[in-house]
Amino acid sequence: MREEDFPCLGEPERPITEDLCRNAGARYASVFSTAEDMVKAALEVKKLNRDVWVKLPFCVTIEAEAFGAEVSLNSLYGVPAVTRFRYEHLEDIGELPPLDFAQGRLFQVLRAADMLQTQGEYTMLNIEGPFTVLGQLISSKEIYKGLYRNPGKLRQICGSISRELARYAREAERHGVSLLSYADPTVASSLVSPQIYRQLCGRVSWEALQEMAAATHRVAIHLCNVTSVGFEKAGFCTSTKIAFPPTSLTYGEALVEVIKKPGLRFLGHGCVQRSYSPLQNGGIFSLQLAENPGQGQEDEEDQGYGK
Amino acid sequence: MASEKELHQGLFDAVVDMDEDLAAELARQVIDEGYDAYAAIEEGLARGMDKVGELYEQEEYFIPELLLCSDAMYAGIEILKPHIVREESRERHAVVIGVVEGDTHDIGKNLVKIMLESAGFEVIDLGRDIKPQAFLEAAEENGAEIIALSTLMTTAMPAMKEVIDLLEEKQQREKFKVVIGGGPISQSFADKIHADAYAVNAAEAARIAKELVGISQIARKTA
Repeated sequence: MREEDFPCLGEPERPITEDLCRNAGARYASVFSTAEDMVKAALEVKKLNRDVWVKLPFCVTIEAEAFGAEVSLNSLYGVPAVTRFRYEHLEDIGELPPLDFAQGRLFQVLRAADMLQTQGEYTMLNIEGPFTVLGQLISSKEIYKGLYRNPGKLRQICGSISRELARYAREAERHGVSLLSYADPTVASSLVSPQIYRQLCGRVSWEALQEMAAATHRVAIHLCNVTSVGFEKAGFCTSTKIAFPPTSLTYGEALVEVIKKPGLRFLGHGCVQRSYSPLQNGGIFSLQLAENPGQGQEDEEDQGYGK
Repeated sequence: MASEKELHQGLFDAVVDMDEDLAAELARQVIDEGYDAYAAIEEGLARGMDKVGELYEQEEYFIPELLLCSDAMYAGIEILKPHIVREESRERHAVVIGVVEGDTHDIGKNLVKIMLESAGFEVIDLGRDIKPQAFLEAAEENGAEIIALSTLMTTAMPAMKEVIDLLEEKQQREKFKVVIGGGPISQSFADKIHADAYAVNAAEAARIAKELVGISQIARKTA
């Protein structure tokens, strides 16, 4: 097994379906693009899963589309997907446009969050990490090669994406989102190597998370377990278990309890996709971001990367 | 003047060291010195890529290294290829590969393609978001023995079953071996949809493909 101790179980077994939307009174194709339908379907998913969380959105292309990715509904499965990469080479990427929260699907997602807040729901918003967003603007092959050939350019692009994601996090909090779910699976440590992760990819996430925390006041940020385990192993954070007495709580119910505690900003080592499943390991892990990750840690092996 | 053996070793090292420029330079030397181009691919570039596959399985190399090594291999092949006369009698084994309909993520598929080609297979790459019928047609047209299906998305997993169902419906199931792989795929899913094999990574896909066609070594197609 690769570095991760927590095998990723993937997406929920009940993805959004036309039947589900019909039952919810939502138009299927619109659950990806219109707040009203998004809310109806999200509440139906919550009900079916007996979850305490409402999760937005239903696809992973929202941020990338706002940065200019060409996205359309796949004809067969009806899932929004990138149809053509906007850029061929990293060098082609100049200034990315700032995210516009006043239009497009980004606006609809935030409007949906507002509507759910009004109904008193706990809303969780998925935010993709910078490399994963970039992987929808350009082939991931270019990204992986760029880790060696052009790490400076990658760092610059991801830096600007991170700043925009922090603005998105701030808007999400303003619109009533209680928890941000963050992951950057394109550059998981097990894919790019612990060394490259430590020197570049993990650092980009660390900076993105710092910016998100600085841009928001109290919203909690949950790192996908594949991201958080590699993140901690690379020295970007430490974790503390918040123990719960043996009860019949689900992971999601425990999260609701935890986010009420003041000062807790980062959580991880669990899977929010399965928030309706029983709490494993007797607790929730809070993460403390390192103040100066990598200082004095780099061994001789590190010096060779990218030469 | 470098000996043929030294050039083979140089090509091997260039691939393992991800040195695209050196691989191209040494390939040109092979031609200039009048050495056998096919042997340079076989003994230098492809053997280097085999080593890369080993390093990948041992977690010494990861995806970025695998891609850069393959760039070096192809840089050498591009130069050597026109100088090889194809031997028609050489054994040929073809694989049709693609990302199934509903998915546009192709990095895994590309890695498998690299490893299959370096293992000597002729690979017909259909690309991304491919309809079931296209797999069948390409396999028939190209006389492939294996159909390799990839996806990263759970939502596209049913499309893998659709390919197998189509093969059964057309009474072609026995004709082709179906290998599946990708992030959400597991052995149990492969069993469930009656795929012939599940490959956990690119290197294993190449090994499985060789097993499925019943050989340990393949004469590499080079022209």
